[in-house]
Amino acid sequence: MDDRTADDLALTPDDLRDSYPTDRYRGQIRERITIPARSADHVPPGDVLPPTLAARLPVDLWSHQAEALESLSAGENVCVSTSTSSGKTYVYGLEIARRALENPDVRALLVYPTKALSRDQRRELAELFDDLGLDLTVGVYDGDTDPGDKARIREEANVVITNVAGLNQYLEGHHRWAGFHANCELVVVDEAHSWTGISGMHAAWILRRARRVIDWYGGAPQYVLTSATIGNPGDHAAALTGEPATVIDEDGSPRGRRHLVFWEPPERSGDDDGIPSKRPATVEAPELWAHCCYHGVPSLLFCDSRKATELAVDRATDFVEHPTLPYAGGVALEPYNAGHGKRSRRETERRLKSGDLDGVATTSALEVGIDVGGIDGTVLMGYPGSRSSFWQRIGRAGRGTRDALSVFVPDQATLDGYVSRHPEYLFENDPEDAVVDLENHPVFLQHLRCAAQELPVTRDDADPFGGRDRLERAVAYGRKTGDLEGSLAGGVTYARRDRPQDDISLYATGGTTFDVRVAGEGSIDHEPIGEARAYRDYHEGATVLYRGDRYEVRELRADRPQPFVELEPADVDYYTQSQRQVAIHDTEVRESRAVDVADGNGFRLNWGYGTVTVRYPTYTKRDVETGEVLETGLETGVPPVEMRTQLCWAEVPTGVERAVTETHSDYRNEECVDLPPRLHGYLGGIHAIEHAMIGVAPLELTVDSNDLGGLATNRLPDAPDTSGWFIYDGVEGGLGFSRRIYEEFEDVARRARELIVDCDCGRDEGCPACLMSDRCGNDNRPLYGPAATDVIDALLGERGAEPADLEPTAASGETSEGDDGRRRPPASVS
Amino acid sequence: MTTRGGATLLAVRCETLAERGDPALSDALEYFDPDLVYVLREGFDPRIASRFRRAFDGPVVRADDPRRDGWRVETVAGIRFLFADAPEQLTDSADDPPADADYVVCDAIETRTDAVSLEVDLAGREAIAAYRARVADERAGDGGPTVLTGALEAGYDHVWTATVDGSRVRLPVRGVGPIRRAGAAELACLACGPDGSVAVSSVPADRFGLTALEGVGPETADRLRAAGYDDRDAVAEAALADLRSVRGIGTATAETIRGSARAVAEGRVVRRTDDPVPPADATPLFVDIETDGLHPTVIPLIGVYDPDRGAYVDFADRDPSRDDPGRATREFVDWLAAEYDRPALVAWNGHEFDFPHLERFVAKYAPGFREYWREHVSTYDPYDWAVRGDNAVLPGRTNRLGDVAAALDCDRGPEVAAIDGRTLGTRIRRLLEADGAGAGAGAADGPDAVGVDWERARRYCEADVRELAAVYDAIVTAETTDESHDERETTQTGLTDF
Repeated sequence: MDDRTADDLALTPDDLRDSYPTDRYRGQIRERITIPARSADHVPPGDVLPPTLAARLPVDLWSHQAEALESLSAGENVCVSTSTSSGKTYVYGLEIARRALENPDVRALLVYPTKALSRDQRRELAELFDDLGLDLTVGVYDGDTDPGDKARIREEANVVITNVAGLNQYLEGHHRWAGFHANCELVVVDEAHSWTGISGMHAAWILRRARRVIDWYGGAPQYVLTSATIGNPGDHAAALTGEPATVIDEDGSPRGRRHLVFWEPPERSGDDDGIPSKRPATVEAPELWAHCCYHGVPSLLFCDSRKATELAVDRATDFVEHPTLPYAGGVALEPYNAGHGKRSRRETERRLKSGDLDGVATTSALEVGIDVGGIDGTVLMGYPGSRSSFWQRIGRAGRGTRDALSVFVPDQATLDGYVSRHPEYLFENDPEDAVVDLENHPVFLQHLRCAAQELPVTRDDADPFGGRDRLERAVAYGRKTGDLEGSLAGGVTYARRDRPQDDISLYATGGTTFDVRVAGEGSIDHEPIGEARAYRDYHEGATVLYRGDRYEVRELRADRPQPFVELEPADVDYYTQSQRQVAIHDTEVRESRAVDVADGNGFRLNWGYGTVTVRYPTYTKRDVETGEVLETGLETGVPPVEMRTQLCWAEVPTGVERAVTETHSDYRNEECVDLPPRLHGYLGGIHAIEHAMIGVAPLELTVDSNDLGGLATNRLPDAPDTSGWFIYDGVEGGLGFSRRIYEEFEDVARRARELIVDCDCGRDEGCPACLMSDRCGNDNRPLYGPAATDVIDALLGERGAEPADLEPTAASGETSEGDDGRRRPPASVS
Repeated sequence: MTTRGGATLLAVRCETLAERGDPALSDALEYFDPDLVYVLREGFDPRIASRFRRAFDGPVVRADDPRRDGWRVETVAGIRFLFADAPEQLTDSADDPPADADYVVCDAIETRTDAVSLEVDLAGREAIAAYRARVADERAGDGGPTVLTGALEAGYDHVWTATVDGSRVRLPVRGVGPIRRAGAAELACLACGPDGSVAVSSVPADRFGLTALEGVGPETADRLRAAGYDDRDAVAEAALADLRSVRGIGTATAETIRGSARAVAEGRVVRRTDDPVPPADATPLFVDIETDGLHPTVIPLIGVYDPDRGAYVDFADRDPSRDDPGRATREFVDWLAAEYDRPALVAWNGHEFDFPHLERFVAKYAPGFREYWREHVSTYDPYDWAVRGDNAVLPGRTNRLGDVAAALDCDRGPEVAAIDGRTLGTRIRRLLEADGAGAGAGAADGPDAVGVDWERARRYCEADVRELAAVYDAIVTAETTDESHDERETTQTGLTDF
């Protein structure tokens, strides 16, 4: 099948283009980027390790490993933020080994995001210690651990591997861990970047609780955090642990040359609504993948669901067997996902490593961890949502110094479109920030109750626990509610007899939570979810994609002591999305700043708290592959959700509002019968900005857009004569995202402008990849790109092509009453 | 169970009761022996209220409608309870309620929380404060009534304040609602003193009627009743074969159920296995610790009873402080190591409470003995062995030591009975928080008195360990069930009686 030498990559981007079936190639290659090889930066082990260990270590260290070990010997915490397979495990493995020489009873706590990786890590560490001739034991302590083994692990294991949810539970029985805690010298937080948003704040408090307990027994651990590349590794480490950390991000591991190709699916024949559409990535990517595998580039295809992996293999197989296409003989392809059972997955892994398989279509299951052997290529079906995940997936090919080919096939979605038109985004020095918000009071209270139950809380705990003022207020609150007793002078303890740890759900912020069950005999290992999320995504009739399997919600019951939703497995070809309507009131400014443009007629940006009422009255069914709307206006039957949360908003200066309204007063959207016609253009503009800013937020922050919401209005709640737009955190108490958007408002607005202006659709009213949002409760009307860019230009102080149009037409001090002297009509769109 | 000079109020949330038939209600009344039954608003069921009315010869008051049009007063055992549907009835009624109520009971008084802004308020605070203001003149020098509410858990104890006519008044609020915990919620019975002091006793709500028997949940209770077994005596007298013919009851369950019924009926321990009671090969040393609460910050008192020597020894830190909370622990372990080479400590529910906290305190405050504690000291928990290990069925409404001992007729005497671990814990905590001022002996009575009567506490502790020794003996000498029981499955019952 191939006449090259075994060491060469079988297809370069040129080869890919030239070999692709001629009647199928229509200029899909949009971008070709070659990432040069990087040579290894080695450090002899003897430089940083004691001779006994250095002598036994069969390999040299890479420079970042050595640097981390040096920082650790200097008593610092470290956050190692380097590429996939750059040997991060060695950092803490060797640190533990080094300490074991001094203290044979050394203990270390390793915290992983989930149970899944723990066993692999245990094996890897055990092998390392074995190579080093050290008698150190490693135990996994989680929900799958045999109860009979637990006591032995607590008493004897030098390294205990657990996960964050488990740690939340085990802290209560700390007396059983007395010896472990007393000798605990290292706490390792692996995959630290994954702790962001709601689960991030829980993780941060759980780690603080753990530290408190360890300190009580006299342990004084240092921290090692490992992270994929994020924009703020040092701050993130400090937010998670409460301790400063030295960032290690100069990667010393070698890498072969990598060809990265952006493969844009071709247009297909026009749609009835005039919005241009392309072949879905779910169709295009499997064909391309099959082609690569056929031509001797063993490849992984990354898909977003289990079902998609199965479909992709079918499509790919059909493609190479198609009689009119120039393929002779087949390719050996397999799907891989968590639905396959352990044995079948091990078999697929084995066949992949041995070269029996030409390719594997996988969910995120193969994104981390498991060694996949001689893979030369990766194909990404759609943008995985974050840069770190993008590079993580790309990094699975070309291990060591081998060249690799990676192809990104963008889907029809906002982020896909943006990244595909702005490939430079992937290479910017400033990747997304992980966001951990310690401000959220409801979550803080939950963990304070746990902490007080674990050990009495005193003033000495104020530092890690919110500071003295906040801690005192929270204790006063807890005493009044009957949850806490005692005083900070002597020790605050938990006053009830239940276990407050059981109330913690890593994916909710307190209040009502819904259990997630499966109808009948089956079971689902799904964390409880918060009320807002239940009403948004788990209403009756909704489809739920969980760990790659699709379910339909049969029942949502809120009227039970323990509310729940009941799912059943559903083999359907559609997904659902609810539309939301938003009202915001009782805003309270906590921080505010003026954006100074030259004439002083600037925007005001605010961050603070507000009460958000969200309704999800209807939902839409869409085709899984094409995103095409199958049915719309279906009723969810759920009540409104009201939450007090964090939000940021922009107040548009009256002059800008007038000018933009004037400039675009001719624009009409015939569907918007409830809005004053003159305002269609301007309201369409600020509505579009709100959508676009939420759409691009994941480019700056590690956030799921679904956790954000917005509203554009011509009457702000606390300033009825002013228009503006909001972005809020979609959970009770807030998540810290809106605050970060407030801080980086101009950057986010700039990205939003790029999204609007550069979109291929070329339509003033946008398309699903730019201005439109599936969640929009106003059916994406009005949306008007030209007005949006004018407003953003004014915000950024960059006047557009027609500066005269944007000059205020009246003195800026004038009231904003309309020309006919009446108050402005209320008009809001979310 | 009437406290001297007080009244007992049994608060019932209908939906919390596992079993709602007459025998179960009578059972609860017999156990608590209240002066008044209060049926809470939440989860109200009129059938239960009327069953209580038939079964109880004292007043039964419904929270949602004490009287058709407003407040109602009940005086029992010399204590005046003023019941109101809504707090406004205390001030806006056509006829003013009496000024001399000792307790105001109103389920509409509840906390309103806003966790996002860290604010808590008390719904009805204004009205209660206005009532306080109105009666202030007539009640000069007294603290005013204590407010009881079913909207809050029994155990809730917070003094709110309000400003009336420019002066600050205290509004002590106590909960009477069921206590949440893993497993069944607990029904609360409050001993209400004339001075506003409230002592709470509670029992899991599934411990009355047939569900009080081990192995009987609500469904099995229904099936037993359908088969003609109305109460526990009937079950105690049944033949195993007959019990087994009830749907859902197998051999093992039948034995458990009948053993439990006999244990309760006859006030004795019924052994379910022939396994020796641990520690089988050593003399047990009975231990009890007194602390400042369920999650102790200090252990000021440790009592030890050695049956071989017939001697009681204790270690008391009469001036406990949080600067050195482990003083008594240090003395205790120091003595223990000197006297006993391999001691076998026995504590009731020790695996859940006494031992973990002792272990933690030894690790922190007597680190020199950590090795000794870990290598030489063995710990045993007869409660755990009997109940969780399914080795014996105990008599008594709950498996609390006091209840089991009482059922076995090991009485501790009235003076010691007047104090309990929780009250002592509250006293110790207040002492610690009084910041030195007013510390020392000479405990006054009343709800806010500061100070611990250490002599009384020591007598209580001694009574406790001696009682434990007696219960332990009863378990050791108990007979095994007469029927053979091969292939009986051991069940982890998950009972959490503490």
